[in-house]
Amino acid sequence: MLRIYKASAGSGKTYTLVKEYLRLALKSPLQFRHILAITFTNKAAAEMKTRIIEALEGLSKNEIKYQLLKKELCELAGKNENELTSDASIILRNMLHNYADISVCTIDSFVHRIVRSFAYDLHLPMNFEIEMDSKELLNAAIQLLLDRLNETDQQVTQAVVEFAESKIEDGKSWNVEKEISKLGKQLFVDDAQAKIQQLSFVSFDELREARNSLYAFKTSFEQKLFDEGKKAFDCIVTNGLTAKDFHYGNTGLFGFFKAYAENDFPPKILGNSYVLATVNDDKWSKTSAITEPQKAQLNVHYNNIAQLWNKQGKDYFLADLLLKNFYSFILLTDLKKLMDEVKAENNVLHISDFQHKVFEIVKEQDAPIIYERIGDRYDNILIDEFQDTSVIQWRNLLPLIENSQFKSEDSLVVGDGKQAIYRFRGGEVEQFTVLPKVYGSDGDEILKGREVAISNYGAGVITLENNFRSRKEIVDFNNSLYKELLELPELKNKNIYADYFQKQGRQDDGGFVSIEFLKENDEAKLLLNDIRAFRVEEIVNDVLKRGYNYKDVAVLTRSNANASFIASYLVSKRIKVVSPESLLIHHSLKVHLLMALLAYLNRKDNHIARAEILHFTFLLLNKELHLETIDLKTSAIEFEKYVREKTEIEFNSTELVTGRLSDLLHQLIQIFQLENDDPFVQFFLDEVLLFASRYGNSIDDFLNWWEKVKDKKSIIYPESMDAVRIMTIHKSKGLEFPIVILADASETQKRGEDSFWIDVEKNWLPQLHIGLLPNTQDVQETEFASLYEKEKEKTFLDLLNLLYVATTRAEDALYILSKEEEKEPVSNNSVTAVIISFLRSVSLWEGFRNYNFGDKEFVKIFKRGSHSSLASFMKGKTTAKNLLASNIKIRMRADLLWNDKSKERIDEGNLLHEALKRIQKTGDEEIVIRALLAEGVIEETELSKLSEQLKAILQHPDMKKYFDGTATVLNERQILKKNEKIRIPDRVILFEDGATVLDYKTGNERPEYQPQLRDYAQWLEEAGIKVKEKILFYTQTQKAVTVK
Amino acid sequence: MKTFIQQTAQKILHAHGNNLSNLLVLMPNQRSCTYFKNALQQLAEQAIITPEISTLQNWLLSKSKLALADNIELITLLYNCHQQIGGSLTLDEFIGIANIMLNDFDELDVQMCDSKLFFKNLEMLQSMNTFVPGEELTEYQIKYRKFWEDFGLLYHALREKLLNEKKGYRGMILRNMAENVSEITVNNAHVYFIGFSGLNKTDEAAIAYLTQKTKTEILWDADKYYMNDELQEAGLFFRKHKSKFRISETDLVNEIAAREKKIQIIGAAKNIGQVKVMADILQNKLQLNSDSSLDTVIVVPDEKLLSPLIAHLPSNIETVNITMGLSIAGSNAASWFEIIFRLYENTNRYQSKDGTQRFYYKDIFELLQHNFFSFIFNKRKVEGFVQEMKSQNRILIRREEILKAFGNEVDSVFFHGTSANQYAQFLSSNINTLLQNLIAKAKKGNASLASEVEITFRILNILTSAQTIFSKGNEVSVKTFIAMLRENFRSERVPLEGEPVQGLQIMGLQETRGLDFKNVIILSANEGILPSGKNTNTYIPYELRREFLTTHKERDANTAYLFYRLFQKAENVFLLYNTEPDELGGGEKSRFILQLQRELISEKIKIEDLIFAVDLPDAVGEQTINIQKNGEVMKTLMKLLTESGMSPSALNTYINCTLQYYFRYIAGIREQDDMEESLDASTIGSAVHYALEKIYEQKKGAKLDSRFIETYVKERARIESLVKEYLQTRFDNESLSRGKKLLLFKVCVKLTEEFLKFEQANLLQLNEANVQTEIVMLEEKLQASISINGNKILVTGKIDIIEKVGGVIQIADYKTSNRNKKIPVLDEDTWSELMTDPKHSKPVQLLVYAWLYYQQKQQSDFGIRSGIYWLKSDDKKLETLRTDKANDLLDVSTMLLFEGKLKEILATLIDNTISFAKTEAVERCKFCEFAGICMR
Repeated sequence: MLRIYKASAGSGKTYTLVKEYLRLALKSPLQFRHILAITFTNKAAAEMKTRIIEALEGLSKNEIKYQLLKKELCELAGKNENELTSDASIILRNMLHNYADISVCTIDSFVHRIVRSFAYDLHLPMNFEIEMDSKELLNAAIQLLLDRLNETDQQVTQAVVEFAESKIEDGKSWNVEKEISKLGKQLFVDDAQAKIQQLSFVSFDELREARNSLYAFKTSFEQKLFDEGKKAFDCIVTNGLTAKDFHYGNTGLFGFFKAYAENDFPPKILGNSYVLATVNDDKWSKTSAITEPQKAQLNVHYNNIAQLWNKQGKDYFLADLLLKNFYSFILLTDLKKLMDEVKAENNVLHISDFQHKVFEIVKEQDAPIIYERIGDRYDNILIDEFQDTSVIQWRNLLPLIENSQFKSEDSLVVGDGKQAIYRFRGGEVEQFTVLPKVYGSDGDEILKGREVAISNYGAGVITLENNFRSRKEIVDFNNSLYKELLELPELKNKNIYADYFQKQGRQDDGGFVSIEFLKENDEAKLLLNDIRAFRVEEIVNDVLKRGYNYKDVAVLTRSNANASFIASYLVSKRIKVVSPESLLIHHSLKVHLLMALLAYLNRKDNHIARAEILHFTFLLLNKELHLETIDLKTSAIEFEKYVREKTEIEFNSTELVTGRLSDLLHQLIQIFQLENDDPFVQFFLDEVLLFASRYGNSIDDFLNWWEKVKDKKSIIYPESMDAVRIMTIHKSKGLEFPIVILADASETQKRGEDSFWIDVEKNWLPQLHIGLLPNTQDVQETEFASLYEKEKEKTFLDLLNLLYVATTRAEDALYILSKEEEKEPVSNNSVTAVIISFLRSVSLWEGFRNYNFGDKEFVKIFKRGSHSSLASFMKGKTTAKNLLASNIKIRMRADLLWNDKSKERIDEGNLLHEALKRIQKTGDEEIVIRALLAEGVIEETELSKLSEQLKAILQHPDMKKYFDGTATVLNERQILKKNEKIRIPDRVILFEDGATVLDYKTGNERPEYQPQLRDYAQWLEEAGIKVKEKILFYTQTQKAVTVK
Repeated sequence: MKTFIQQTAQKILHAHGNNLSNLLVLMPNQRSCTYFKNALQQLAEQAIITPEISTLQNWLLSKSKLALADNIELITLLYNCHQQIGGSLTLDEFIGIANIMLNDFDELDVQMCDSKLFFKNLEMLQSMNTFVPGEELTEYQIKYRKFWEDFGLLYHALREKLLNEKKGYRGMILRNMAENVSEITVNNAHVYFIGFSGLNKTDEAAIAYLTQKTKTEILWDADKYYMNDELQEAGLFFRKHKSKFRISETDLVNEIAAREKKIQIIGAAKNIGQVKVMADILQNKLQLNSDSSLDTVIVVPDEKLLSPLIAHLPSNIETVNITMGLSIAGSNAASWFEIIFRLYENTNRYQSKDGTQRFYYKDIFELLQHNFFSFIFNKRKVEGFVQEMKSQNRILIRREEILKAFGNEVDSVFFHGTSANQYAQFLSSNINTLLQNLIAKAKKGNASLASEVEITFRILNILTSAQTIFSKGNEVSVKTFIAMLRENFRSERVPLEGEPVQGLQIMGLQETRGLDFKNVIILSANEGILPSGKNTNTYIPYELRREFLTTHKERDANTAYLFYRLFQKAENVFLLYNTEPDELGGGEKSRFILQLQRELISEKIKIEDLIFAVDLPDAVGEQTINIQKNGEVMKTLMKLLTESGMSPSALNTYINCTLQYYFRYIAGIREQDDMEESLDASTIGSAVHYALEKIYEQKKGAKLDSRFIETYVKERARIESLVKEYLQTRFDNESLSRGKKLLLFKVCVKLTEEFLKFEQANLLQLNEANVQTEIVMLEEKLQASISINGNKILVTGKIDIIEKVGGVIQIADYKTSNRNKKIPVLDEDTWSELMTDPKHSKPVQLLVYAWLYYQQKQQSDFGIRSGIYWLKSDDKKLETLRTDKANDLLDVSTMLLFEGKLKEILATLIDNTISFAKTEAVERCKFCEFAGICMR
């Protein structure tokens, strides 16, 4: 059975998911291994996992908080409370100890796991890494394309050069990179993959011919219009007629022909109402001197023009649109090749590749064998946030669902079409609304089959209709607002909003909603920003008086720019704020100084970096700086000397240990005394670590990377910090706040398709069967107008859905700040218009003023144990010490075999020692040498020498007997005694009648070696070994000396 | 507290007195061997000879007749096998596959898998997977099956090859030993196995053999807590071994639950946060001194944290022992290698047609500035060299030039050969010098270099054995060799061991086996790291692994054992974890923490759950910068204004932001010209200017007609050669013929050509209308002085072209930038904000030009045009500055009005009571080179 949950905002979606998960898990102690729960974000996955474990714990401990859940589960599972308690505790323990078998994850990480286990089958390197940044990849591919101009592919070179030249001819920027990059985004669009594949079969020559065809068609059409226009206008001029002779003069038919005669189009291609009045109703100016034959002739010309448009107008616009991006379009397949090259070279896959890779398998393999390969067999599939699932994601999951259905197991999807706001990432809301049908199944056999399978085994829709989040007035307000929206003619897919109505789930009444229209002063947008920020400040201060804290308030915006504007305004008013912008790492003085230092180390003659170093260092030391007295162009050595003298900071770049970036920064932090407990520096170092682990340790690369990412990197704040949250609506999804201020309700932001892929069959364009149209109004003039219309509808839906998400975040109060327009809008495609039409429908509209709903005097009610108590905090300060001074102990093996003084590569004495250490008896030397060779301690060329040396010793008449294998040998065995230095004689041979101590020496004979041997002997005796002789063997002179 | 090792040492001493020399003590890892020796010494009142102490694996390996083959050798041999069985992959493609395959082979052998049965199963399973009744196999499926057939063939072929050479990989040798165990001679009277948990099949075979040959004793280090709970994965191996090795209750301790201990679980955002918590614990919570720090271990499961960890050690820590396997890839030495590798790869890319070796400047600069080379390249010379190359825009640098600058002795850092063998030789001779320097430095007290020395030494070993292999005729290309080395650096870990045992112990989790500490600090206690979870790099399908080998279950169980074992004797345990997820998850507490919190419930145990919170500073306000015009500033300023003068662009800078003016003109900070990898916008501008100047120069002072221009329009090559003439002063010919520079060269030509086309048409029209055009001046610098409060300030301007069109003087400036908006009309509004709003920078410039010309002429009937040719625009007509009067000429009254404005603004500039400060309009900072200093 497939359950489809429609879960409007605040309807307890997560509760339901957890409940369903538990219901399934309760079937058997290890059933959880066969449940796959897929969430949209990592955060959601983590939260769900935690909630499941907490619930199991609560159920097993009989906690009051979980009584309701227990009752529901008892009923669902057909168990009594005692059974459930004990089952819960068994499952909990099983989960904790088979943790890897819990599959609650995002779709990306799930697919990632599959791709990893299929790496070979997919011809992927096993150790590929994941690149999240599509821009980076695209940019790398474009750079490669440009770098290779004139090197390999002459066709590509020619195309790029022509591209730039054609842009100059058109008086546009010659920067082709931007345009290629714009179209290059298609390489990451799911739907485009098949088309790009198709495109790759079209040869370069065909593409260029296609361009010529398009151009020829376009110009010939324009020529025809021009000819006709010119004939008409000539007729006017030669007959001495002027604008005065025409109805509405220049704006009328006169202007119409004139435009065509000047190779231009009139504002309306078939003429405005005056033109039509003239040609259809024979309207001319009252004083017109025109004769009837002249009229007739002009009429003919007009009709010819109209006919041209009727016959070929659609194609003309099509050609024109296709030509717009045609050079980029030509380059698209090459770009794809280059991008594949970039990926291969860097051993990376883009995150979007995963889905395609899995699709390659799913397409071919019908059975869910794929998913079993990773070791898990799933019975139950739970999918959250289904409305944001992309087409390919759903198709990849379908075999799992089908399999689950086939086994008569339960699966479920949860979603809310009204909260579909990730279309720009490929989310396709209709997949949800058509369920249990499979979106796009028409004409696709496999999909059709899956669809049939799913419905055969049962599917049902369940609507969660209570709102447990918002107080009554807010629920009521939203109910009436979205009821009105459902009536709007612009909303084509009514299905999505059909379940708008929510019942009051919370026990408490009250709540407050306010709609305001902020007035824009005639001058500028800037002023609206100011007014908006000012109003937000007022509201925040007002709710503080009502008992709320900063952290109860969330300010939501449509754009990032507005969020950051409001954040910096509130900061300037000393209101604590948490927004990605306000906590940016690069806003720190110390981080600036560190970056300046890196820039300087990268290029010592970077004068700006030098100036920055001085500026920030002096600032941190509270010293006055006079840049005009300093010669920044001096040598680096002089510059650093200056820094040392003026600041007493011991900065000397030649003494830095470079190599690892993080080591380098730690040194700089210490040298410049940049207090380690600064959170900005702390998180900056985290970024350094991240960078180094991914891209290596080049300073230059790091500087470039930081420039690109610095506006996204913030410090992480503790959840419970008392500060106003400022974020975009997208970020607020899934969250709730007592007070919500929607600060820029009226702004619109388009994040839809850039272009449409189309199939073309034109006899004037024989070379090409697919094309890419830019998403502009002109598409309406072509036969593909419906694509444009559809996109417009979707854009409108985006607008509404964002509004829906924003207005449903509030618990107690909701403030909607909109914009006062100069006049009331006619169409409904702005939020302001939508709100006005709502106010009209409830008969409240009285022009642009404030409208309040509900309890104006609301105050904060303190809920008992509202949020789960967070862990307590710890804080501490430490003083780090100088890295270089810390005494790190590591055994240096290299040191044993190396002599740093002599020029010899390896100290031969030590090497011989190393070999002898491993030899028990004669005959071992062969394997020992082989091992040393394999370990890379010696080179092939040194082999014979070493074996000669060994042979000389082992065969030495005085030494032979120590290596004959008859007695037990202790090689380099330690002699230990508490608080004493450890002794290590080279070789002790335990003969029956007593032991021989043997020590090898490299250099010349020296008397001081003798006491050492006597010392060994003494220790051996103490350890219970009788020593009968002590031998020193000099390896160079091949002489054995007996020590007395 | 007596540690497990101490107890063991005592026990053995007790049993054997000081007669230990014929004992054999086998342990699971090197670190516990060291600790064991240490413990023995502490107990030795009288001198004793240490028993033979070794890890079980090393002991077995040392007894073998087979030598351990190096990774590069294994890959080459395996590739030979691949070719033998008809494989078609290139070695480059094969490297990645080979490494995983070798891992799989190793595991098969260590688990003493029946290879015939195994490969038969494998083939069967894989053909079942691809079998669809009634359908022919697709090409893909055939390939797929072939892979699995080959898998078995390769396994056997490789073994055979290795045996011929008397070599083997680790697992193969161990298996070989286990299968021929009876060949091992054992003279030891008594064998102890200490602290083992999960035993491989080869381990078991060795133990069984020794047990049968001599007296053996196995000492387990396990706790009832996990042993007796069937669900506890930490006890998995013990329960498995229980009957075979007769593990009884008395072999177990009961310390985890029964001993008092304090456990703190602390979450921190990201990695440095954890390191900070660690530092706080060491300094404030534990207040370690030199004695107590030996009782403390920091467990580092993620080696990435090692470097920041060392940097954050608090000052009460004096000595540090590091014992862990470090990957080569993250080391300083590897960063050095990366430079050398890139140098080679890019040299091949940039080699000129005549075969001259050329290097990419970024690679060379990095090489010169890398500290590892500081003993090769003189610092002062490096600076000079870098500047020289930059001033000449040298993207590609020839070797000879470097030798000329630094002397022939630096030639050793450049590779001259062609073969991989030569490359290996080249690298190792470089590394020789490097290693000598490193050791010298490390010995001089730069202790942090010790690990670098070890890693570098290991690299040297790899290179040496590579030479041995290559010299046997298994030569690969240099490119492939580099790929092999990179792969090797990524996968190989160099074991570091802290010796002597002293101070604070820093270890990987594996290294803690067998050791006990009073204080335990574990970092990165996150799922995915501790334990590592489900990701396995293997070709062997899960179904078969489960039957024949191990899966993540066993790996996790091993980690669990290591984790829980640390709790046995510890009194203070700190579990630090990262609270922040990354792209594919993470940020999740380790399952072990979840287990502890719910299961380790005892009066003796205190568990705290904490979050480390950073102290948020007050919002970072922007700093104001005010530069007072004190004596020095004024001096510089006045010198500047009276000697060099004020140009339109300086004036516009001052209008834009007074601080920017200060930085640029008074402090004299200029952005350094960077290497131009493509052509900068300014270069394009200059090239077009140059070409136009050269063309118009011929008609200076003469009449201009369309036919003259036409000669250029008709012959593009003439324009090309002019543009090239200019660009060649800055770039070499070859670099202009490819890549972005080629594109932009064409752009320059096109821009010039399009303008000339316009000019031609324009002149034609003018000629037809009988209007004469004459060139008056070209690229002329004009100047005039203006007196302000008694100071004579010079105003200057360089004018592109002055023409006389139909008798009217026309000053023009060519612009290759975008035409964003129209030049505003000089109405009252414009005048009022002319000198305050940078949006009027164009009128200011045009007015300065006009005014300078006016100062020259001083005519009372003055009336000229001043405007811009927008070369990039569709409409290339001269866009002139217009007044709001009917006449479109700039006349005397306009000039006087402007002079007033000029005086006004220059007066503020030399007013010493007004300081230089940041502009309040932040949007002006977007493209300012000083935005960094102003933090905007």
